[in-house]
Amino acid sequence: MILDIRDLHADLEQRNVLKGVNLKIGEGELHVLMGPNGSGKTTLAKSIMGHPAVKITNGEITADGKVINDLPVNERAKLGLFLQFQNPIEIEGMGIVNFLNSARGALNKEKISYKEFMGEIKNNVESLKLREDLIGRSLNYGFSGGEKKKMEVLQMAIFKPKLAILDEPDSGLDIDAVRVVAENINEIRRKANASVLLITHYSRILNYMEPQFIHIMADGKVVREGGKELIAQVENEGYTPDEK
Amino acid sequence: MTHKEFIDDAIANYEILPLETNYLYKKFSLDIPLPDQDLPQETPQSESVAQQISERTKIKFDAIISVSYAKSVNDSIKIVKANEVDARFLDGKIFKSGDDKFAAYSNAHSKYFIMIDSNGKKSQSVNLLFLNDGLLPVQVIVNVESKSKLGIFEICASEPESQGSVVILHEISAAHDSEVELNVLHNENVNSNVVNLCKANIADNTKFRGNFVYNGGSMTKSRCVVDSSGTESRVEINEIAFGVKEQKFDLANSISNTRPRSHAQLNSGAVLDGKSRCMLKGFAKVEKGTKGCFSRITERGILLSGDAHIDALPDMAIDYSNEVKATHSAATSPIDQEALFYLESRGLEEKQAKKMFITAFISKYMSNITNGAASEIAMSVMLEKLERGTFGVLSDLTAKGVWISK
Repeated sequence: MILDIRDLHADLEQRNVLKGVNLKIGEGELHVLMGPNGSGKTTLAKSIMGHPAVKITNGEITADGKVINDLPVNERAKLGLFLQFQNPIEIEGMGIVNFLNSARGALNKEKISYKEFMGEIKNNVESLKLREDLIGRSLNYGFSGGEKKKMEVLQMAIFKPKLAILDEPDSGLDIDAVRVVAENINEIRRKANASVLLITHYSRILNYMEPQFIHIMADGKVVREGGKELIAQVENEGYTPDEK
Repeated sequence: MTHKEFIDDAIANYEILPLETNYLYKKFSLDIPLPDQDLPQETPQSESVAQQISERTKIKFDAIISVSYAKSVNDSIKIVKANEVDARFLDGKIFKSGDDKFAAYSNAHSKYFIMIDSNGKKSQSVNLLFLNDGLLPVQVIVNVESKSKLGIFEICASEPESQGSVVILHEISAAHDSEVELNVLHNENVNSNVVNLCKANIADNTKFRGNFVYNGGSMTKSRCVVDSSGTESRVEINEIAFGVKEQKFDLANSISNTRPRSHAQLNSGAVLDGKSRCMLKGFAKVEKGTKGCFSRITERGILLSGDAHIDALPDMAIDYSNEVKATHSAATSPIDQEALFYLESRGLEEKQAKKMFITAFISKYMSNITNGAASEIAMSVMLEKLERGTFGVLSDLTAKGVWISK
């Protein structure tokens, strides 16, 4: 999928958060979005996915050439967009398998047998080093922070999106878990040639990934762009060196 | 005491029941004038109706009770007509009006006494059908022997055109080291009123779990007074009301801890649409000398329309605060918009996402029912209501395959 964001302005709770974002993600590319707290990274992620609280006031988001500014959330998902939540929602009483199956059906994924479906879940559970019994529980209910993040990656593996926006998949994870999550994301990308926009504050996860593009956001705009070398610069100089 | 004296005493005492005199509970109260009701006493085809319900639900009933018909096919269940009981029976009743105010109301009006006994069996499960086709006050008197396990599943139903009021008092007496699970599903039609009463006396190291599902009826009133009265005894009341249109529910439950290391828990939930209204009035009492006990009230509600209304009024009286755990919480809200966004971002349409969210909420309460058929039927009628807004008719099962967390 090719995602093209042009001069995007958006408000969140009547506050102008995005002030002209330009970003283009090509098929199979891995982009990393970094920036200080409050710079608008999560709001950008939500605007791409169509969060009702984010009001686009100007600009365009296109997915494979189609303007999706006003497209309902679920239709965006059907196009192949996937948002990994920074704080995944807990829903007590909603069984994970039931949820995955319903969502898979809604996304019009190819029909597979129950045995194949459960096998796929089990493989991903093992690969993500999740406890097997979690699958029999309610969606994210009572999960640790790390388990929730892994459950999001598991969903990505099951839904096989064309473009995944991963909002801090590494926050709250221990060193080993960061590696496991990164390796799983790499594998999912490789299998489906999926594009990824990865939002993070830390370079650690990038030690296990090969991003082609790094974007730095500040005050609602992309202010710096470059390759992987930009990460080292940010680590040494901070996000906004000019203001130092 | 004669039957007449018994009734007079009961009526006199009803007005001073603790749950009726709490000022706040009185303020938020639903008035169902049952004693004065003059309902048509038709003679419906109870047996054939019961047969149909049995086929639809795939449940074999051990006893069927309606205004004009009462029959048991299980040795553990005896049915006695109230006007035929003698003084010895009344004297032997566990919850007499004189020493238990709560039992008074139902004592005064019962048409039948249905006695269920564990009968020396280690483990037993019984299914009862109540047909709400007139004014039907009954008492279900449960006696569970030591080290026995008894499961009861009651379906309270009615035919679409019938008009009735069902008043069921459950009197449960469980000896030490026993287990009782009472599952009650109310799915009467819109012309019906429902009164559910429950009183339990629990011995040492005994478990009692009451699961009440209020899906049908125009007006529903519930009064449960359950005492965790044995050392290390465990009582749990789980109830859920699903209201649409103008259905009204007044659910008042009192749990208490009177012995050390006893455990008492009340979980109340409501999902309301249309102009329906629900009052959740949970009261917990922790009495003196209950070291190591646990008491908790949880009240949760989801409002599906701007005209629906929930009053959640948890209340506690703690007479003994040394080394006891006692908590209460209440929360009512529309469907969480962030949760909806989450589900929609996974491809689900808004309508489907809402349905899944509500189903998940209901499923929490169903997960307490260990009787698989009971949870499936209860889930089925609520899903039918969620899908079509209808209630009061037990259709063929539709809940098969719905995930219920255990």
